[in-house]
Amino acid sequence: MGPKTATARKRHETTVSQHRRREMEWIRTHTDVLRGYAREWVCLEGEQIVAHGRDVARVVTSARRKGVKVPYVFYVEEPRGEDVAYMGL
Amino acid sequence: MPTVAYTHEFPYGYSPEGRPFPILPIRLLNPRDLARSVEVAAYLDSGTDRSLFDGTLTHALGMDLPRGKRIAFFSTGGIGIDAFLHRVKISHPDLGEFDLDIGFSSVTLARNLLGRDFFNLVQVGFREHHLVFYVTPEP
Repeated sequence: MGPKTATARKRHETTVSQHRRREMEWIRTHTDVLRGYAREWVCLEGEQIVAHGRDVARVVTSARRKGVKVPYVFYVEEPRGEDVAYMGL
Repeated sequence: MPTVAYTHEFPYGYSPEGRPFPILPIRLLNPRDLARSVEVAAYLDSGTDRSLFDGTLTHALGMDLPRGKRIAFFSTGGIGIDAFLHRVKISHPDLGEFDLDIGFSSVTLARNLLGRDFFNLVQVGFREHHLVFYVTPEP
């Protein structure tokens, strides 16, 4: 394999993003816990819920006070069951 | 036939209810106060014209929601959501920074949607069966 081929192959490498993987995995494996936070915003840092509540601005402020520089937040919907399909809007 | 060599792969994220979705965790920044940023789970939605996020996120960013230009979002069923446009920076450590005029809703949204205005800045590919999507940070 010549140098040109090696360069071309390297250029086409795909990197699997690891950003917020811990939080994503925690959400996937803790749906039972998250049911208790329905209709609330949750701030998750790693595997720890650092703040939660109905008002996202307060949740973010609380997380910043606890030392979280960039709070990662998501809204927990009311569970709707299996016979429901979601669309964007 | 065009071939796209994607630079980044993203496993689908899961909603709090446990359903897989193409979720991209992105950081929203107020361009006038970059210190006030927040990171949110954004759902990629090619059926959405323009990105739409929950309006109360503007409070976390130190922005005044109703100061933005009013815009209405309509679903396929005709249900409308009033929103206000605000220019924000969005960033992701793997993809870089983008300027985007995002609609911020006047009502609570369960999911923040990254629409075709974002897709206009990057290239996105889905492998739904494998629950992964791909992004290259250039149009």
